[in-house]
Amino acid sequence: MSWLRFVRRRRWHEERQREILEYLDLETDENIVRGMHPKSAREAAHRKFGNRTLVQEDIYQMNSLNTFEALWQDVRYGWRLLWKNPGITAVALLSLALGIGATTCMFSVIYGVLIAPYPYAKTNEIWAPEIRDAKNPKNRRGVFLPYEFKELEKLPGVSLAMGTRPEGALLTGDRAPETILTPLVTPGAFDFLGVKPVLGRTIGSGDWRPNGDAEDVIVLSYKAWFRYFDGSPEALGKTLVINDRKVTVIGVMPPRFGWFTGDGGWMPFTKNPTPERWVLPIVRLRPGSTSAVVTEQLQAVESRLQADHPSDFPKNSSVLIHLNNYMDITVASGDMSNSLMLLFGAVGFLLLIACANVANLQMARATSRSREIALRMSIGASRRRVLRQLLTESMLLSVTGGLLGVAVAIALTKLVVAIMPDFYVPNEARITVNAYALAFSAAVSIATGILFGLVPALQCSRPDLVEDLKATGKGTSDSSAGGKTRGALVVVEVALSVVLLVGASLTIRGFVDLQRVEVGFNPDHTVMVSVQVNPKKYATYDQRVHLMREVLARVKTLPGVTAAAIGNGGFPFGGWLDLRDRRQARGRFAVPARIDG
Amino acid sequence: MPKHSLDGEMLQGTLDLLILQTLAVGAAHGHTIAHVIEKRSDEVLQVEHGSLYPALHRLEDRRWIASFQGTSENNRKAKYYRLTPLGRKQLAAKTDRWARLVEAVNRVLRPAEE
Repeated sequence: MSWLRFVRRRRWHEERQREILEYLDLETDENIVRGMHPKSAREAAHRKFGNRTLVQEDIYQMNSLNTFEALWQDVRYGWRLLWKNPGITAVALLSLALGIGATTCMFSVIYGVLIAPYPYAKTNEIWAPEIRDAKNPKNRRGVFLPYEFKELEKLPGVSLAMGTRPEGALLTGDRAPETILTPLVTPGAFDFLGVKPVLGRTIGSGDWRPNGDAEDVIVLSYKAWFRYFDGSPEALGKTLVINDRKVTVIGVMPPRFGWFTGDGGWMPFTKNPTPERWVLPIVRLRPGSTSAVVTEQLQAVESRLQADHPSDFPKNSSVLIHLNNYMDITVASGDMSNSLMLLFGAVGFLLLIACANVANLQMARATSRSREIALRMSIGASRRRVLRQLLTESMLLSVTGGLLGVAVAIALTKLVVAIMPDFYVPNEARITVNAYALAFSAAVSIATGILFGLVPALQCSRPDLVEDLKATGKGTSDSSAGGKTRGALVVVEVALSVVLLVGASLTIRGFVDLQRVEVGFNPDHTVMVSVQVNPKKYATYDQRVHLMREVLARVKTLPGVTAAAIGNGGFPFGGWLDLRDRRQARGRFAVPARIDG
Repeated sequence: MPKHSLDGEMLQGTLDLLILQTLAVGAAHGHTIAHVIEKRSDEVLQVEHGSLYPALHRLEDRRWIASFQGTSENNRKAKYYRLTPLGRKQLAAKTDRWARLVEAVNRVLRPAEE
């Protein structure tokens, strides 16, 4: 039978009633024709028809969705009960809202940072090869020299390979000079990452000249688009002066695209690099191939290359190839993911405590209702029916708590995003309470409802009818099974709280230790400035060294500076660490300076 | 003559069959259907006329019969029912099944009577 009947029931009902009245009128008419007195004619018609109420009820029942009707009844009844105990209800809702809110918030963070941090196509199928020193695996590199990358591209198990060379450049032109991050990418990089631009196009095969040199084009990040062009669509075709070259803007990426930079732009990497210009490669595997197969293939290739280029490899040792899944080497893996998991566990405990709390409150209430339930069961309510009613009530509580929890989660998530250290989070990650988080909290609320509803429901749907009916007062005695269950719940609650407290204090302890980490120098009153050198203007190393000496001398004379030093790469403050290539003097120099004060 | 309640003692589908058969002749309203069933069974099937209505409702819901507003013989508004093509098919099928059922039951009962 179609459920539509249920919706149209009222109309149906009226129509049936009219029809029955029609019948009675007709029958009365006929009886009168047969010579009956109008009054007795009507009575005879009613007799002939039978029990009218029964017939109407029959039809009404036919049009009912019994389960839903009962559910609706239970929900309304549950609401009335909750309203009657505003104090208990408020406490229960508050603990649920906090528990569900905190859990949902943590889930959102974990989802944003660990589960789906990247906008790139099938990130879990991206692999990053790494070359390790067999004798000392801690000595390793993820950078590939041009001749290595060429071999990597040709591996039979690899379907796609792309290389990225993180570089900074000097942005000049009709604006104040500034450093812009311009990661260089190999052909096919944007197909590899699989993200569509919001404006224009990405770097394609046409952006390399026939001789392999890169064209002067740039795909801007969303932030750079707003910074340099106010987000205007006119930006396409405009030029920026980068490292003294006019570079044409060909496209803009969406906000979440943050491949090696969140606020710079991407440029094509020449196909004829000088031998020292390494790239960071990533690969996708051919269907049917596995990371183990590719590891083996690459192992063979690298062993051969080591024989050809011994100076680029560890001496007196062989190399070991390792393939890292891209999801395992995000900035969030390690410390961040550990603390997130710890926090998630903590809020899980919090939720459990909330559950135990609410279950306890429900138990207390159910005990005082045992007479009501006993009465209902003694006049024929089935155990299932009573159980369902009690579960509906706890569901009502938990779903309402869940809704409040979502509000709490949204507020909490905003707070967390505001205070989270961003260098621990991939810049592509977006932490919001999204559909997954909402589904998660819905599931949590329902599970919570069952969890804290089931015990009390089972407990009092199995009452000792006679005893409960005999008892005159409410809340019979605490020596009953109900009292024992409540005692157990309190024990669980206290145990969980202790675990949580211990966990929390250990976490805080760890955090304090982290604050006191010995960095090897006194970071107080120390600032670092990095200087971008124009490679055209300062073409030779002599010129650059001269420039740096000049900079250092002038910084030292600044009022307030007590000491200054200069260096490149390998600083505690950054720079790209590249142990192999000691001539990495393309650009960045860092000037730490001590400030008086 | 004992009184037979159509929806209780008799088989569930029987009332449906009788209604469908009555409507096969032409459209009718509930009152007429009740009286026709009673008369054609030579008053053997004394129906509580009210029990007809849930059955009518059920049949309409299955789209075996359809209803329309009409005027009765003595000029009253009444809800008329008519057979749908689907109902006609059902009538044929059910009549067939009924005949076979009766035949089978008779075959079982006959030796006992002899």
